[in-house]
Amino acid sequence: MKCDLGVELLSGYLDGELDKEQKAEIEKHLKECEVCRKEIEELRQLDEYVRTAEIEEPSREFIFNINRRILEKVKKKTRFRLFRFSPILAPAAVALLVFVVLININRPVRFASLDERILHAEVEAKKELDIEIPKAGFAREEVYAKGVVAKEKKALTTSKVPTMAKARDVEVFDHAKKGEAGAFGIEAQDEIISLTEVQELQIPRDRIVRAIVDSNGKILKVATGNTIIPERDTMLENRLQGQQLSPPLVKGRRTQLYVDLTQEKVTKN
Amino acid sequence: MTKQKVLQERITAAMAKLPDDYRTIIVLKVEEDFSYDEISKVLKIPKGTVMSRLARARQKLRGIFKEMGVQNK
Repeated sequence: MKCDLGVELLSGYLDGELDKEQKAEIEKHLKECEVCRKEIEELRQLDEYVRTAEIEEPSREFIFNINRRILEKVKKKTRFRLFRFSPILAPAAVALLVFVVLININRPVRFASLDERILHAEVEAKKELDIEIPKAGFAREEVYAKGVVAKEKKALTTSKVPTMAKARDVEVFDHAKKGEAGAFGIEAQDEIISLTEVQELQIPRDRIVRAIVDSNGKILKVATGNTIIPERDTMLENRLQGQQLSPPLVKGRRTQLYVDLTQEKVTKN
Repeated sequence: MTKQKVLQERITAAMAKLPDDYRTIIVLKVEEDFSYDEISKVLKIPKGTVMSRLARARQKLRGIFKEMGVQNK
């Protein structure tokens, strides 16, 4: 038995990208059409498989060179320089590269450290993409205006790490975009989540990492992307993967969270 | 080699078989969770193209999976 509803619509529905009416129509259709229900399940399964694929990480030299080039651009006091870069399409490289391509520096900023510069450059690049992201060097006392936050704290537990050192705060910033908070059934609040972490991570200089979590708050994948030393990224990912980061923040879709892992209190430089 | 490992290798190989633009869009959406808007800005294509290309990419990948014996649960 076949249904003539296009894969395209189902694919769009799965990604939550249909408008209200389309979405309602599809949901109505799904109630009656088993073929399409199966199709959606298959697509979901496909996504799960894709996520388990081994993504090749860029080499150390590659990341170093990109960061070096970003810094050169940041140092130059020019306005509106667009960074052109011919895409190399190794899977992981694409994600990193797309940020680089859209860097737009419009005024000089002074930085305390190399990492801050890199982070700043990445933040600027992300602004081009209209993604909400907390400012670099963000101290814990500040609030993140548009975050979607959960209402209770939750301890991180892990069975993988052999030594459990003292608790540290892990800040979680959600980059939900404007206007979407209502759709997820949780109110946007001006608040930062503080979680207690029961392990000590030996990562002194990385500040913000990006974690992809599923709708249960379980970490699927971690990317720092703004460190010069890729091995640390892998170490960090191994330690955090599978851990519960927070209670459900977003129904349905996975979301990306920015996790602040500074060891000592952030001070303004 | 565990079943899990075999499966993972097959999936990785299948992804490598995808044409470049299909693989790119799947990674951006499924792996990196970019929205269609973000993808359209990054790849500089219209939003409608994002939706259709992504759907075709998924279909193509599904076909490759079948070829390589990756079963659906």
